[in-house]
Amino acid sequence: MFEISNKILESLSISPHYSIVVVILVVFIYGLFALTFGALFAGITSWYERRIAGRMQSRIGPNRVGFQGFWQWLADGLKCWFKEDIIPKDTDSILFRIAPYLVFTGVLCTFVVIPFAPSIIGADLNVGLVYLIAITALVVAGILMAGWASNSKWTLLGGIRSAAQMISYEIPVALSLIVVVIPAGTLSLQEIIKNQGGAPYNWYIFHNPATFIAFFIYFTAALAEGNRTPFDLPEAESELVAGYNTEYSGMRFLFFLFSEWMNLYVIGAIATTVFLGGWRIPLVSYEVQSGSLLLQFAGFIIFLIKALILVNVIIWLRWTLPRLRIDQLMVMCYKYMVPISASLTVVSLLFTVLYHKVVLLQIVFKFLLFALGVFISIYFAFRVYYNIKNFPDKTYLKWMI
Amino acid sequence: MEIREYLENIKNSVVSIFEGMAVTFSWMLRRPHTVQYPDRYDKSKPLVMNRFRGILEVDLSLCTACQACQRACPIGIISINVSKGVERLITCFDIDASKCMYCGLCTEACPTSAIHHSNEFAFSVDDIRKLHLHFVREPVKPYKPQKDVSVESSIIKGELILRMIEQREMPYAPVEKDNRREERCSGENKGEIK
Repeated sequence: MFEISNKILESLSISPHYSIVVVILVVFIYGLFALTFGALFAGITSWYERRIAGRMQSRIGPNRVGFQGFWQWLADGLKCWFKEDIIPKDTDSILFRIAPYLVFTGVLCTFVVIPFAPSIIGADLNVGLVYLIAITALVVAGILMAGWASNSKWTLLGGIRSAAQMISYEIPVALSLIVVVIPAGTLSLQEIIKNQGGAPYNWYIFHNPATFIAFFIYFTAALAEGNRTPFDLPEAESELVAGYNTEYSGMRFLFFLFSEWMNLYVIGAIATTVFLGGWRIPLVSYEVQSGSLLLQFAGFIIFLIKALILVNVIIWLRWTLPRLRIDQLMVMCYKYMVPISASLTVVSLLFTVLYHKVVLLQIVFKFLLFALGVFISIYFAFRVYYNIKNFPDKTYLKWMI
Repeated sequence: MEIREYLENIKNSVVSIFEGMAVTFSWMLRRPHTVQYPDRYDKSKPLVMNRFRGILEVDLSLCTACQACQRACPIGIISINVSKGVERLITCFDIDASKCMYCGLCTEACPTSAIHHSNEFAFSVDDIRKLHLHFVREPVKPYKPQKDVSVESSIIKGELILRMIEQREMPYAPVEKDNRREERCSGENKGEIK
């Protein structure tokens, strides 16, 4: 953002006295853009997820408000807007009021370092990844605050579960990101994207076997950190009513949901940035792309498509897997994910050193891993086809919207 | 935990998640099972069985004005008025459908099946008084049964009541006072609910 404001200052030849005004204006506009983007994404995803859930469970889903029920999210939002903001009698009133905004801020603050295009980024911090891991701790504080302040058994259990879960899963998240940081040699998100190539086999996911596994570990751990199913223990409906947001209503309740759905995009965007090549266009060099406005926009679209595919996978996982038990969750974190991701950092170190010695090895591994990824996708498509083909009742095999 | 069990666990979880996702994805490509009202894909199938007791419907061209249904009704929601002048005329045939309990006793009492249950079940209205159905708009002659002529309704079952619901007008009671109806329904049964 500072680059852009500097460019504006230069081109308009505004006197340095007013430079701070321009900087504040640019930052304000970008903040508004990020907020609008996040809110729109959260709203539309809430409708989209319900549609997908319906189809996966052989239902239809919301299809009444507008075309295919598209305006359902607006109707739900308006409904929550007009609902009474109930604050129960025995709550810790101030904490109860603050908590949803704290959670929301924690998620929204990640938009500062998430890149959209070569020059559309809030601030290209040189400690971007560390900032990302640190700022999400605000969400833990908010959720724990909500759980404690509501003065209810369900919320307290949900809050404490969430604190245990989110802090535990920050370790595998950080470790699996470090696996990529080693070959990339930087913590800045723009630099990480810049160091990757545009073509799929140049992405960091296919850089070496360690990063390939680290991608899946990051993805799983990020789901757990974002309280998504199958790790949605803090708001387990069947056990804890609604977990930490049991006592909330109206707009405050909506803010929790907002942050949950915005977090989907954050997970997808970080995975895209670190592992999947970000906004790089295949066969276009970084210099060419950052020079052209059109190519920058194309990069924005490519980034969005990659992130949205990952969001689709998250939604799809939600309707596939059952919820884990709390002890299984902790076993999975401390017995499987932490040791594996820690050893992957060592493997990644070894490969990085090896690639410096033998350059040919890098190309071989790159294409081998890319071939593995393609093979997994094809095998997956085959399994889907097999499941459809071997279904006894053929009347349901026709498409219907 | 043995190292073999450890690796086995990892393998099992990866394979089962992979297979599970393939199953859910294949379900997403299928047509939904939902067959219920109103999103059924086979519109030719009736929503309910033929003998379903929906909202009551009266075919006045068959009504003999015997008032058997009025007597049969256990809660007295049917009120019929017949003018006794030179000519017998049905001046009032009201059913308070909001109170009907769908027991079907009136349809059993009816000798010509003029009063019968339709198959319609969706008839919610914004004002409960609109469910006070007035089937007589202008006084009509009662039906005279003839020998060796089978009694068959000229209207399709449910057609009349469906039109009433769709048009949202008479014979729904207007909420304002209807003087002419008061006149017609004066006498023993005022069209009010007992």
